[in-house]
Amino acid sequence: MPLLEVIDLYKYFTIKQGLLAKPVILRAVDGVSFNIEEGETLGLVGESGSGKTTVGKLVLRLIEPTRVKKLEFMGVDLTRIDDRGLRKIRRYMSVVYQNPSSSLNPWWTVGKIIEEPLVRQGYGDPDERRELVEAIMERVGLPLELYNRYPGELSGGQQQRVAIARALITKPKFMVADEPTSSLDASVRASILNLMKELQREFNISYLFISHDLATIRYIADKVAVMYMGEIVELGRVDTVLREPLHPYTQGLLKSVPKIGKKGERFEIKGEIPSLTIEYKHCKFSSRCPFAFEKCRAGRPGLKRVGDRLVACFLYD
Amino acid sequence: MGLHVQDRSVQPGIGNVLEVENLRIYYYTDIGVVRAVDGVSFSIGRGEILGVVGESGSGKSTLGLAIGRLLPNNARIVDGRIVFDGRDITRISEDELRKIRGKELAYIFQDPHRSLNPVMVVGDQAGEVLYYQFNVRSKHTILARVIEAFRKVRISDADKRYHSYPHELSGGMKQRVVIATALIGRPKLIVADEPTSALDVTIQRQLINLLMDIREEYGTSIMLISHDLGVVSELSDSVSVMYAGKIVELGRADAVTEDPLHPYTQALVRSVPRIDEAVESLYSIPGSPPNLANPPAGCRFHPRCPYAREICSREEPPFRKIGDRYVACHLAG
Ligand SMILES: Nc1ncnc2c1ncn2[C@@H]1O[C@H](COP(=O)(O)OP(=O)(O)OP(=O)(O)O)[C@@H](O)[C@H]1O
Ligand SMILES: Nc1ncnc2c1ncn2[C@@H]1O[C@H](COP(=O)(O)OP(=O)(O)OP(=O)(O)O)[C@@H](O)[C@H]1O
Ligand code: SF4
Ligand code: SF4
Ligand SMILES: [Mg+2]
Ligand SMILES: [Mg+2]
Repeated sequence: MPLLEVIDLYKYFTIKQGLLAKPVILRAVDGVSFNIEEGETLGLVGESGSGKTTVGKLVLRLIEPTRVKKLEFMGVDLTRIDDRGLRKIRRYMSVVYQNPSSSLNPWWTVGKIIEEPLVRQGYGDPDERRELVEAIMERVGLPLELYNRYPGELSGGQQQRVAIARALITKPKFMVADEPTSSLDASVRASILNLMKELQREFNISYLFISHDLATIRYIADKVAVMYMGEIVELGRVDTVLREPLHPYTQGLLKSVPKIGKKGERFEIKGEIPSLTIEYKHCKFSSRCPFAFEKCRAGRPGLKRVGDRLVACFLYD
Repeated sequence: MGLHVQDRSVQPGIGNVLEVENLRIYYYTDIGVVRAVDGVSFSIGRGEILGVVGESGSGKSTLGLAIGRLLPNNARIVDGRIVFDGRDITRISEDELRKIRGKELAYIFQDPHRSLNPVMVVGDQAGEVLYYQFNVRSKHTILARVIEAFRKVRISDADKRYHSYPHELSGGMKQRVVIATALIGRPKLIVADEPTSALDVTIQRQLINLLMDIREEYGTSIMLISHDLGVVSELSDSVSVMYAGKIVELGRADAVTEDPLHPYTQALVRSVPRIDEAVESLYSIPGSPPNLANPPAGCRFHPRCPYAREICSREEPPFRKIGDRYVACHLAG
């Protein structure tokens, strides 16, 4: 049994357009399915605005799905659970939000913020907790002098490390990490990724790791799901997907990666990013896809097995 | 190209949009004085893109904020000059400064929430520059210009997004709103602090191309603070590398990123993970980040440097010219 099982997950938002116009429906997550096994990392990549953060919040039940066929964590149906049950199961979950500054209590010191999940779980006495806090600070590369500082007195990357320390200190079973290393220099990033892998091996933690950095995903993840406009368009083992992408969007994504010493290469996926507020009866990528053919404008491709992965594209029918 | 200050005495207004000389910025806290920027000099030419990379916590954002005098209350500029387009920012009046901000000098803050007002729709926020700085009074014109700017940064449903509140946008969309807002007034200099950290590489690519075009067309200069060495290497003309409040290496972007001379830059570049390689564990610089309230004596990198010698813990290395770049290391050259 997988640790987390998601089948046909949807989230629609209603957005207003000025005072007079009628509100419209925005299809942020439009039928997404995946599993995460114990001790496994699923990388989630894809276009900005394609619904990655929303998926992360949905599987933690921080927001309500519009509809979903199955959402199970540790064998528990998260759609039918009451508040007490949810509080209990949250002990096994943790999260690093995309924007660290707004997720840290500005009135608390760094030490108190990192300690808080332990306090909530009634772990140990203050001395024992202080020891754990200092140990994790050291491991994420936060100088101990920062223990008594406030989040507003830290650099962007230091705030991010506080959020990571707080999420790891309880050794959760499952962690959603939303761009957790985007404000870190390459060396600190490397040591945090190494730490996350070590803890994973030691405590069998599973990660849903959202990132735009494909090299980071290559290192940390076992499987990767590629999202485009609310859907997963490709899902498979990270080495095969990144070495030999099949979906045209994944191919464009890999070609766009900026590299040291690649000045002047100006490849880009052409075309406007289409609207999320209309219902699609054709492939959502067809307006920008270099391989689009008739069929692509006549129907919507579903995820199909191609070799050992899943791809949503008519080219592989 | 970013190097002028060391070559000749500062001549305000000639060639450079920004000249920073021997800048020191300290934070005063209960626990001591944090020397976040400690003797930094560089310049940015007109139309030049200067990349600023370096260790997290080394003073990059502090440096960027100082240019618009936007530092928090507990910070002091204790020494040095910041000359923006011929005017010494550290001396001019608040009134004069207000006229410069937004119009001639635009910001993309590292934390998008610092740029965005949570209770105002993002379109109106982007239009404020036009209203206050350029006296555009027609609501219709503002609306049209903002939507055009949103389209340029690839925001989908740009017309509908005009009326969105920040919390209704994804992380990368907020970032693009802030970029659009910064570009709308066609400033002389943009201080862009991690402008693409929340963007996928396809949109990142489009924005890199857009910024290149804008630089061509309007001669806009950019101070690009980023941890993404790929983005910096592609977009910048020159790069400065910061460690513990100091610039340790400064030179042409390709030279610094492809053939780094300073041991810290070398270690930083070595830590970048590769997309085409499976590895068991990633290289990272041994040891801990320095404490800026009590930085190491001599070369600040010496406790972690594989080449450190006796002199390194005793004497601070001077910032020396080696070929066409500058390096602060006793052994380089
Ligand atoms: N509370 C909300 N109200 C209305 N729309 C929302 C809300 N939250 C998210 N959205 C919309 O849902 C879509 C998906 O957003 P999400 O934050 O999940 O994207 P993302 O993939 O995480 O993007 P990024 O990589 O830029 O962070 C976006 O179009 C966003 O504007
Ligand atoms: N308000 C403050 N009070 C005290 N110290 C501060 C304050 N703001 C920042 N600092 C400290 O000053 C140093 C430089 O911070 P700065 O934000 O400039 O770093 P940075 O290079 O931008 O880092 P990052 O890459 O993580 O964003 C850090 O060590 C930080 O802890
Ligand atoms: S289904 Fe057609 S348009 Fe869509 S990605 Fe495949 S080839 Fe391109
Ligand atoms: S001065 Fe010495 S310690 Fe500093 S970088 Fe050079 S060799 Fe290393
Ligand atoms: Mg997101
Ligand atoms: Mg910063």
